Amino acid sequence: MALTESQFAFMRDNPFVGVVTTLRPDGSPHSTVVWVDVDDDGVSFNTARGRVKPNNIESDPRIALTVVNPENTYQWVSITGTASLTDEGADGQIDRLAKKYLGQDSYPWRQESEQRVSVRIAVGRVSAVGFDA
Amino acid sequence: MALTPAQTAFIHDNPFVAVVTTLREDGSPHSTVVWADADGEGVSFNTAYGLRKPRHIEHDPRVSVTVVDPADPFRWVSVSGVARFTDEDAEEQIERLSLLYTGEDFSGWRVPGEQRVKVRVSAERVGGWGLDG
Repeated sequence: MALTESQFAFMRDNPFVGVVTTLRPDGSPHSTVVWVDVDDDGVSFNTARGRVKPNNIESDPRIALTVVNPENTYQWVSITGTASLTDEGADGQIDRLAKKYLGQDSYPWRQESEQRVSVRIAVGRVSAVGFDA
Repeated sequence: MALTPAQTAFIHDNPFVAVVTTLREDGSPHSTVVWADADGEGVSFNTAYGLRKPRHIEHDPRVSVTVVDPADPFRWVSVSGVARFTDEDAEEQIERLSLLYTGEDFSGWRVPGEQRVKVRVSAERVGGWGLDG
């Protein structure tokens, strides 16, 4: 099952945060809030090496990402899929997301010691509410 | 680990939806959007028997519940723990939530023959942002 164009546009064109769920090594769900990136290759987000999310993904790449329209909570899309970690382009991505979500040209909370990483989601299943198409 | 009074009030007092993640039979995460509730004992939500969420929970009761302030995505709380069903005050809860979220009673939403159930989640782990104190 694939995302429709309107679901892609919903995530691409709006600064709506996502709730991302990864699996702890014991299999239990761990959820946090992320900025969502959408490009021609699909859906991704950005985090930093050493955090819970990338560590969980290395142990089990199965992931869910849910984006709710904060102005109309009866419109939302949730994808389940498989995550992969990419270091390349991760610094550029967090700056791009700072533009999308904060209107700033670069990510203001960057720490010298951290290594940003991009998490790309291969979409497995999609559920959605409030989309015509 | 317990919710702080500020986290409890954040969920209880506001009509902010939650992303609930349950586990499919294969262990992969499945997320949907629900009305959320909280009290001194923890977080809860309301669903109906026979839907996917309660079926998942019967198979594996581990869930996460994440509530984001729609007006300020830097304020959020995420609870993960073990879910258990309560029939006792399920009707009372859905009516309170319906009034809080829609301003109307639940009759317009009710599916004939459904049995509502309250799902209470023990706060084994609590994450969050912007709600300290």
